[in-house]
Amino acid sequence: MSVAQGLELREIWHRYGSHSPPVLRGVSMRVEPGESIALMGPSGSGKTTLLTVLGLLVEPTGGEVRLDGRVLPKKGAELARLRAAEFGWVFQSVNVLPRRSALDNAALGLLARGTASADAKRAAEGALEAVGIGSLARQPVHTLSGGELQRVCIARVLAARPRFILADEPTGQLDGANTEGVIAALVNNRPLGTSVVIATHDPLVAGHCDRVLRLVDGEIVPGGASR
Amino acid sequence: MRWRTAALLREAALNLWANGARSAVILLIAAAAVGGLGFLELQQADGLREFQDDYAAAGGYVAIVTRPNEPLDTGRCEALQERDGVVAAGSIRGTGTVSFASAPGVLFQSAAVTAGALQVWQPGIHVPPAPEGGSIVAGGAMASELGLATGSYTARAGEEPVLVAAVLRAERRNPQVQRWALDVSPAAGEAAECWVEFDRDAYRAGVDTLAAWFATGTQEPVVRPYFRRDEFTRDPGREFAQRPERFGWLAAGGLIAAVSVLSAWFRRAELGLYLALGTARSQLIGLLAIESALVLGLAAAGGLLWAFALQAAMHHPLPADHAWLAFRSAISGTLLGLVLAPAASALVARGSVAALLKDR
Repeated sequence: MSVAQGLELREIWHRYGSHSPPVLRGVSMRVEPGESIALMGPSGSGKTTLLTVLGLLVEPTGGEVRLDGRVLPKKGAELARLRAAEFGWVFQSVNVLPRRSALDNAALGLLARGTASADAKRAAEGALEAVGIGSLARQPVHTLSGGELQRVCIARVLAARPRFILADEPTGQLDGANTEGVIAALVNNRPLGTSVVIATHDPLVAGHCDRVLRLVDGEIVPGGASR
Repeated sequence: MRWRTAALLREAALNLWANGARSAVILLIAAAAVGGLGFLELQQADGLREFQDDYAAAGGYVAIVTRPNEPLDTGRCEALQERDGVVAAGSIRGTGTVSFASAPGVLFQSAAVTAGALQVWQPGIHVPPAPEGGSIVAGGAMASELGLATGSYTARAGEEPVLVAAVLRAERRNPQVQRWALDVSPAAGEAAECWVEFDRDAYRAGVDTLAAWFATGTQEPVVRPYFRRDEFTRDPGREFAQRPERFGWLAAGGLIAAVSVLSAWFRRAELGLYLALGTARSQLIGLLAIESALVLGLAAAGGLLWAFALQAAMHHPLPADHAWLAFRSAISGTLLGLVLAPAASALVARGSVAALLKDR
């Protein structure tokens, strides 16, 4: 019997605090290997929460997360290992180590996975080249623009070659030209077999993805699209 | 799936270097805490040493042996000088009163003393051998009243002049003899009192053996300290044991940890990023511990050097045991900070990684 590959959510519920209303209401979805998904929906619809559940950063209040058909544990070292090994993150607010070089930041994911410094640097340099900012590798991140910083974050993810890339409004603070560059780096230049899930309001971003899932009040509603 | 040790060390060093201002602030605060504690310890030790010296100079380790209604053996008193822990010992026997030709009608006490007694009353006093015509040692007050000085001559009423071999300055250790005329005699015969000075560390045990040492007559000897302990309330040993600075290492360690936690608070997003990228919490603590170790190591070295330099600049002595005391306290505070800082900082990074990443 073949095992279903990919990441799957089954009947995910989540609320922040026992008295607050649920943010996710029975969400079920699959992320197939190599596909790109745009998560769209109004602000407060639960896109970011859904991403954090997919990325194993948040333990859902209810439901199952399955990876390659296996139900994942809720907590513990195994979860941390999977989070590091299988997932890469790109956030709306740029998360970088302050005052460190672009290269140091791009290598960080690999270093956290136990890669030797020299190998991590080599891969990070390649990833920075791939996202078009190879010439800025030695620059401290506080001297870079918003678009360049976001590309550093994408390079960090690409260098680590995760199976799943999760991006939360990666172009939310960028202008049109930078948005094109970031999406090209994130969706079009991703390694073969890598899945991408992007939470976004931007139809331009959604237009680059294989599928669009629409989230309203914590539920996936019909009206998405496939290419 | 864990950071390699070399990479983690490099990461910590790069974090410190890249965030130089933050590192410098923590380093300065830690150095001030550690160095300040070291300096306080040096000052405390210095003050106690001065007091200790003053206490000894005032006769704090001098004991007096008498025997009611019965004399002591001068020889046994003098023999005490051969014992370990005895600085000097000597005896005194009153011989009545005397007046001098230069001040007829003014009476002074006279006594026969051994050289050891003079050493107890005025450590280091030099009394040359008596010349053929004889000599006396004049108490300071008597010398002042009669206008005598070392090397001058004076004559007892109706007698030939004698040399003033020395003027005794015993204001602190035996003010009574200040108006006495003293004949220095060899250790033989009987004495009324035996004065003994001990080394500080030998004092208590030495005093306890004196009664047995003089238990040769029919009466029990009486041993009393020159200082009455109930009147003299300062006790250097107890003061040292109860000094507030002994808790300073806790305060210094706590301060270092508090500053580290504050720094970690401003690094929540950074710590969250490490966790989000797969760094285990134990390794995050390790990273923070390495950063702390590098900064605190420098801070401890710099702070202690500053404390020693300041002590030297104030022209205060820096004996090895004082330096060791300051070092021990400062290093205790540093080590406590080193243990508390990463653990407390890691508490800042507890909870949801997603929430940390949003914090700025």
